[in-house]
Amino acid sequence: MDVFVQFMINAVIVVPIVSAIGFNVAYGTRKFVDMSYGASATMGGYAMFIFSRLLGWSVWPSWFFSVLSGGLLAWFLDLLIHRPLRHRHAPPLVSFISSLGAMIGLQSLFAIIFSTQFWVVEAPPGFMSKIYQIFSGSITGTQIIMTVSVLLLPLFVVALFRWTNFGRSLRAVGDDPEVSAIVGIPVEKVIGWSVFLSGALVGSAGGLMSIDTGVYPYSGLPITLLSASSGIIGGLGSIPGAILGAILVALIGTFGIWWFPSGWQMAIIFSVLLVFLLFRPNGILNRDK
Amino acid sequence: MNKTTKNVLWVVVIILVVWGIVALNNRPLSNTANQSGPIKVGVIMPLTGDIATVGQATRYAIEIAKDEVNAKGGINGRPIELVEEDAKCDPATAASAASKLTQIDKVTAIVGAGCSSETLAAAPIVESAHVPMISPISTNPKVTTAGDYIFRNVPSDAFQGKFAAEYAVQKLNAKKIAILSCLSDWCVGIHDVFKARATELGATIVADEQNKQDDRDLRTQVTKIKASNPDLVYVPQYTEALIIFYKQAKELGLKSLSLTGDVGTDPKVPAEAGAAANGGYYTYPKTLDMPAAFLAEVKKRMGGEEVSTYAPRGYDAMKILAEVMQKVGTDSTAIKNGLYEVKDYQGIADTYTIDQNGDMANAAYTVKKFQDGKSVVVE
Repeated sequence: MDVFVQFMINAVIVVPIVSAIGFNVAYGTRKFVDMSYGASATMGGYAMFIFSRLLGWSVWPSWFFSVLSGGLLAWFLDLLIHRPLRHRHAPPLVSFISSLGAMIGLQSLFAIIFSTQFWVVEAPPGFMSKIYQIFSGSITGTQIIMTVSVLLLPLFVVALFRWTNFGRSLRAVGDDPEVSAIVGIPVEKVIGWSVFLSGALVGSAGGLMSIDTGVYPYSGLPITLLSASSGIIGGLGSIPGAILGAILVALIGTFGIWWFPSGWQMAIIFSVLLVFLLFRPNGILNRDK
Repeated sequence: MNKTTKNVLWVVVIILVVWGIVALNNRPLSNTANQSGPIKVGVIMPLTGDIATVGQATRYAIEIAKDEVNAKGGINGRPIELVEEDAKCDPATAASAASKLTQIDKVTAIVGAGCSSETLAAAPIVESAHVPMISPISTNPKVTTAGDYIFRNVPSDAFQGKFAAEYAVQKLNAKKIAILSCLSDWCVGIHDVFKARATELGATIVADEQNKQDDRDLRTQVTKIKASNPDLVYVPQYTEALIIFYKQAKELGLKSLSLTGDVGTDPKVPAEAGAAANGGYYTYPKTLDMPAAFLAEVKKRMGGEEVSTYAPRGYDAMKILAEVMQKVGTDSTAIKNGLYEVKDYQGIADTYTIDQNGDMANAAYTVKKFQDGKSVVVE
């Protein structure tokens, strides 16, 4: 079955694993669905566009700026909007709505700065623009890098959560911010870092995506929706859950249109989300019982 | 009377006053609303978003035509003033643009819209407002019956889809054809005509895939198409998705021929897709070579970018409208009737004769092919 291999490759490429993990990292400490999450991916994409295409830098330093700018944007939004809301003990719905507002504002801002034109960043000659064969499927160098990072980043994040002090304080803040504060964990700082980490993760994905498929002001929203869906299906706040959910979403999205016309891709994904919300609202692996 | 009741009363009073002022100002729907001063003509084009490069070039072409008319003394001494609206290749935006132009700006006529979905969304609004609209770009077959006041100076895809199917089957000898069409009025319209004619000619449709107009990842569709092993893929897509198609088809090793429609005239396609688009065929309405002075002027206004071959049709649309107004004045019914009389009008892009549906009576097509970031004529 030749198409099967190609579909598997496609699925891994579009697997929003990295973005789903990033989403759950931020959800773990802040406990609300952040609609402006995808903006960091757009930011990362435009950073790649500016440095690599406009300034002619090579891809790796540009990618560094994608990661950095994605993280900084998420951190800045948290500082500007969500920290004051936290201090006022605003319910999650308020944070959700304000993040949606921030997302819409940012999309318009991107459109004003970069125009609504769609830009693809040329893959640099050499490894990234070559096409390789795996059995009967083909894959580009950029996609290999994306796949490898998709395999490595989860390990990195899981290790961070398990074995470092930072990871332990992240989990503590996620469990109970007030008690964490009492035992001396700098709660705001930990939340800030977790948000930066989540933005940096999705920014890295956005940077690679601008080479692979391209970037435009509205490319962030689908990422938010897919990451949130993966997060909910896998279990909000859980890192292994995010990985499972993202793999499931990617496989459903890719293989679903094996049987159905391809225009139905998003509809299929959201129907599965609906089924999960009805029968297993806490996801596959839920942390908060 | 407590405070809340008082506030509510105040709000009611304010609403009544505002409504009264608006009602007083709102002149009855009349064709002779403005008799002196500049003649307002609306422009609806995709100035941002999908196929913005085509929309921008066309808009500048319309402006050039307007400047030329005004330089020669305007319409019976009255200059033309353009009111430009960006419809983003999106039906909802086009509908509100049409409402604004007809209700608030009270334009005499409209040149536009660009994307077929824009024109079809704007059509009922301009029709009920009795404002003639002439589109230089929209080719969807449904525009033919969109209304009495809806015209176009570009042939319907009822011809282009047929021509493309005949070219694919008879000239390119495609027996097995796959289609990848976007879910937007233009794509769906030409897809239906193409599919019907290709089947009629004996070709087999081995795959018929769709995607949303703004999808930027077509790998799954391309993989499915590759598995169906077609001789030729027909890809009615707008600029951005078309670029993605060429890139991903190359990545996934889809070796069959490809054929698309008039979106291929957008210079952004070969520029962005580069070598990935090599060998991709496209059809578009036969257009005369652009006059050098016109091309240079549009290019200058666009800041040096390449110019779509659709731009001169925008220029012609404005010129046709100006000529009709020169003859019959600014009464919208008279303009409408005048547009139906247009016969053998020689423009810079084509020779136009408008039929009883407000369509072009004649249709001829050219086939071009992409080669290393350029387009070369095939037929």
